[in-house]
Amino acid sequence: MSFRWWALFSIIALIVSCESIPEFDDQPVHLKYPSWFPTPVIPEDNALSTLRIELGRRFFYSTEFSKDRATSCASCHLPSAAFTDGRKTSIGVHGKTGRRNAPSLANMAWMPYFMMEGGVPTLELQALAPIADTNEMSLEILELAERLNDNRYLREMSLAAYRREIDPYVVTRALASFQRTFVSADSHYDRYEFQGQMDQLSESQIRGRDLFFSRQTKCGGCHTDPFLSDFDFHNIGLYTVYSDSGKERVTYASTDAGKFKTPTLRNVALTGPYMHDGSMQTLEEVVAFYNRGGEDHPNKDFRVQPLGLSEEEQKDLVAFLHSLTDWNFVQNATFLPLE
Amino acid sequence: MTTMKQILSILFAALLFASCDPDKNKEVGDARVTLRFETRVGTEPFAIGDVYIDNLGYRYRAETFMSYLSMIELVRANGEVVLVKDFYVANFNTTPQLSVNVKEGDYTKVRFNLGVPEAYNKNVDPTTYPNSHPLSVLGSQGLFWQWNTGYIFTKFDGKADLEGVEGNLLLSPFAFHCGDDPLFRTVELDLGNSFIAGDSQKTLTVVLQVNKLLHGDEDQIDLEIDYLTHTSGNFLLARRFTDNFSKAFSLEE
Repeated sequence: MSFRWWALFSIIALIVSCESIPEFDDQPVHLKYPSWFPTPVIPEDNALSTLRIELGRRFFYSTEFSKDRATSCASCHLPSAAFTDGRKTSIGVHGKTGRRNAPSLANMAWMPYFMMEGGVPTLELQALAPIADTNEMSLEILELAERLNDNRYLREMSLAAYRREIDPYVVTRALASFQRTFVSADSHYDRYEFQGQMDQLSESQIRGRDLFFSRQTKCGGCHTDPFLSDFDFHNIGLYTVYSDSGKERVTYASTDAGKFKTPTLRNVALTGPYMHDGSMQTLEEVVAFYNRGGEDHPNKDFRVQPLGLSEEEQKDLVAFLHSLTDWNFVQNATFLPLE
Repeated sequence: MTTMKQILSILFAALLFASCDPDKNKEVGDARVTLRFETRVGTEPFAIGDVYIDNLGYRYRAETFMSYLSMIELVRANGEVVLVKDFYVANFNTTPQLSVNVKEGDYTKVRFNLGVPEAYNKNVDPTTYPNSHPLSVLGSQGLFWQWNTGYIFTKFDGKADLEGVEGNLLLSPFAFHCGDDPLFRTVELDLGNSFIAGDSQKTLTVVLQVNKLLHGDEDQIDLEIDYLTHTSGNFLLARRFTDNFSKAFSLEE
């Protein structure tokens, strides 16, 4: 081959390799949250930044995460449903059905541990579970990193954000960064309870609120402010025999059978079906269940007892639960896909 | 593609390792000790894919047998400890061998742990280790639980024929996936007062009797009844298996 051909080939190769990738500008981000939330713990090696959040956002909506390239994180965590999916239990790779109802991702920055049995200690590590789960994404994370690195834009963004190509470290950090921005604190209840805007709840909702935090119902014993969860584990007497043993799976203690982490009730009107297995379709069903006092189980929380609530009182409770919806959260454009 | 890259990475790492001078850290007069982990059934060598008969007459074939070994050490008569390897994923499909340079002297014990110490197990993030590290995502070779953060200490999977009839298909699966802090075990094997001379080469063979995994001296696991544990779901069986495993080693010089 003559020198002229070599020169031409080199120039073409240079042009192809120089497809335009913008210069990335990375800026620190200070998480905004209200005064009635505690200070979140953000790992030192994963301080929030614009690029890290954007990279996580792109990952969150990428179907490269599943073996069949059909499922993304957002498949089971839709912003419009407060990052749940409206299904009884989620559907993952190759149409497989999981065992559990998709939890909301609201206020992940404050969660002390993850998964319903609490077996995962950090938000970074949490991402490993659905990627590996054969019912969810069923993909080796090293293969995922390779797929993502094939996208030069993402690879360059990773280098700018974390000073390394995409690898399991970057995947888990970036996803955690994006999820830490899911702050939900602007419901009518927040405005009423923490900002003194007394016109934010209806009469029925105020009665429901009073019942919710009363000694009679003790709902607020586990669904504590400000996250409407104590992040502890309770057996609520959903079944006499549980097919999913919950916390017992990680402690091996029969006294933990049927205990699951208290879910946040923020945006609960949008996160049905309910319970760990999505076995209840509506809030009315859930309130009626608690009013009956649950099934007998040796580990049942002592607070779950027949409540003797009237029809009106149950309606008031449901009305209060609707006041926990944060419309600005579910319509937040910064949570949506970029393309 | 991924698998190919992983294989290439491992080959590259192996080449690097092979190209390193084993005597690099060796000082004048040091001896070279090799620890060799040999799996056997009775007097026969054990191999993945071969069929063996357990103490209850069941025919079984192992398809996977891997374990985390940690803090593998030689103990000197004066109490000094020589670290052979901090973390190691032993794949018993091969014969794992580890070597170390040691000072001349009397050595009394070979000591190692089955599993990963508590400080490195729960609350530890495998994505923070480089790929070459045994605790990394790649290095763990699948011995990690993502849903319940922590390393799988031992994986012993296969199939059995519970009628024990020669020629029968092996259709009954068994799986022992054992891990978590309560299943961490230390194995100490007595060397007596073994003198290792300077400038010598010595091989110590750690023998692992595979049948003892199911049939320990004090506990017999019946594959017809107790054939499945992921620790979660049947912790007691995982503990029984681990206890048998920890007592299945002996030492040959």
